[in-house]
Amino acid sequence: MTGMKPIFFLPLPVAEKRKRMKDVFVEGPIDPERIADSIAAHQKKKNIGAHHIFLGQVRADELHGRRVEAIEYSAQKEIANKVIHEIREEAFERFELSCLHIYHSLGIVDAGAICFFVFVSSAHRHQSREALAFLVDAVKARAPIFGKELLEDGGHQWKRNK
Amino acid sequence: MAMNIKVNYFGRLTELAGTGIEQLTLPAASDSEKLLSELEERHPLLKGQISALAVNGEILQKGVTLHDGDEADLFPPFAGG
Repeated sequence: MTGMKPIFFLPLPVAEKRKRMKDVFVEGPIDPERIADSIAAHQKKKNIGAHHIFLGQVRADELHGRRVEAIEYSAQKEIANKVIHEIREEAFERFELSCLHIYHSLGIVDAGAICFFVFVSSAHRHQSREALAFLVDAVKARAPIFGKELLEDGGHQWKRNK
Repeated sequence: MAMNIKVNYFGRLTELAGTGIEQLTLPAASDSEKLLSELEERHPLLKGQISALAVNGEILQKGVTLHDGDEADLFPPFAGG
């Protein structure tokens, strides 16, 4: 829980954006409309000069001649949300950010659909760009999320991150 | 006195253990290493496949002593994104 203590000494808007633990999970694919709405919602925040967005998309990999049709995601949700909250706090410590948002799918996401959405905003591009790389890598490495790759012939294989 | 531990498996480990949840009884003052060796003995396919262990909602960075009623989560390699 790094970063919890100093909240009381921060100006209110900063404290507001950092204190709450959020549920990052979305059942099924992440709707592109949600992404468009997120961009639109940030137009009110006029101290922002740069957004960086990562969209993870399910790839129709071919495994020994069998194509991946979808990935079924599962997670230890409670721990994953806590870990991602800690990663968010680390990002706010390390970079000068206005805000950041993370969403990840649970359940079945078809090939071609979006399963992971990270949205980072800052006054200037360097901070948001570096923060985005940190966030994407940290979530993949540290959050207990798992993917079952569902194959076209009805079989499956467990996803491994490269 | 023996202690009861609830074990939850995730991802591929559910298939290797053949179950998602099980109860395990361990000798008093057992630690997380003992838990892992017991589970690998019970389910040999788990050997070398567990990449992280959480106890009561905290992912362990090192071994801990277990207590009656603890809940353990066993994870294969994380694969988010």
